[in-house]
Amino acid sequence: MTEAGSLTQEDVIAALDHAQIAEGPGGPAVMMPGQHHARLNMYIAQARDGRFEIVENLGPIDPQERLVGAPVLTG
Amino acid sequence: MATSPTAATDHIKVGLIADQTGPLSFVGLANANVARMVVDDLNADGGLLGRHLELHVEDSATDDDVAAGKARKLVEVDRVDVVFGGIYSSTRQAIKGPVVIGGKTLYIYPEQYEGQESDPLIFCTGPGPAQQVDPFIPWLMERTGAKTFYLPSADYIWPHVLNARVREVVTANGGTIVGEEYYPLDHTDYRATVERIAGSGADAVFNTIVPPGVTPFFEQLHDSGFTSRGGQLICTYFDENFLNMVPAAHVEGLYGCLDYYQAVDDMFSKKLLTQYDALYPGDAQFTGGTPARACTAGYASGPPR
Repeated sequence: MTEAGSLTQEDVIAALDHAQIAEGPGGPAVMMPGQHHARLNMYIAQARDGRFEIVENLGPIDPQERLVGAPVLTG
Repeated sequence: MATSPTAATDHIKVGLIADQTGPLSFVGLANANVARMVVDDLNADGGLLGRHLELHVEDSATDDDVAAGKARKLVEVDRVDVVFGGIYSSTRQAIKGPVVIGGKTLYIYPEQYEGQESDPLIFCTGPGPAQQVDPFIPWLMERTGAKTFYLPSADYIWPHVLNARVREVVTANGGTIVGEEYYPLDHTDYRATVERIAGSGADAVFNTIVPPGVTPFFEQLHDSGFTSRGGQLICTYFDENFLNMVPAAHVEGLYGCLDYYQAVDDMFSKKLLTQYDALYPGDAQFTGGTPARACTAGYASGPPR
């Protein structure tokens, strides 16, 4: 919103469309333009004695979602 | 009217639908805590574009109809600028009606889910199948040698769509789905399911049963000796708040795949966890399940931190 410089819904959506944070819980996060879903660092964890231990850091992974407003493909 | 510019003196109104009571209360309470922490942080930094944020939290009671009613109130009565929240995908769909379709209001859904949401007014900040199932299943098959998978599931959209992806990935990697069953969310007697799992000889159980049914299911699966016989238990949504819900022995060795765990030890993640724990000591923890993502979405709206 700081980048948008405005709080109209149109401007906020345009800014969120490619929003990113250099630091977040689990690492950086980046909205994939047009997808409204984020590239995220992913981790595999295993429960040990009531806690989760990280067993694999998969690194940043894309959401691979379709573009917003695109028709739903069925079948 | 959501598209009209807010007057310079007006607060930015942020609505949150949180499951503060009912089966998901331990997550919903944490979501509300995180929202307060982020809003307070942003306000301490001067708000957004010089405007103060005003948080409106509504309890959806882990009930889709209640969630829809509260969402309608946030949009029509409180006239919020944005709505956050919902955990179950059925709750997202319940919120979407009054907020997005009826109210033309921005909606941010912060949960890991089945993907495929593509409304221009909705942003999803949690991971989907390409980020959980696609990398994780081949890793698990390689690591553990598991070839046969059983899919006990709750009967709503998320398990159905996710299981289709699991079937695709398991099959593509030379494995087999040996069972797939759906139950109402509040189903509690899984003895017959557990017997069928044992009879199938499944190497792995990929669980999408959710609260409240997941607690008795894990207990009955554990008591059947599934994991002590070497079976692999997988539950992608499980985070530390869910771990707190079940005896540790019932889920010992359970594998999950999320974008945050409390054990992630980069400086920023540790700082957030420390900040949250100081503000909100207790059972509703800062976890990847939803709280961390609401936090991500909130901070993404503000100036660089």
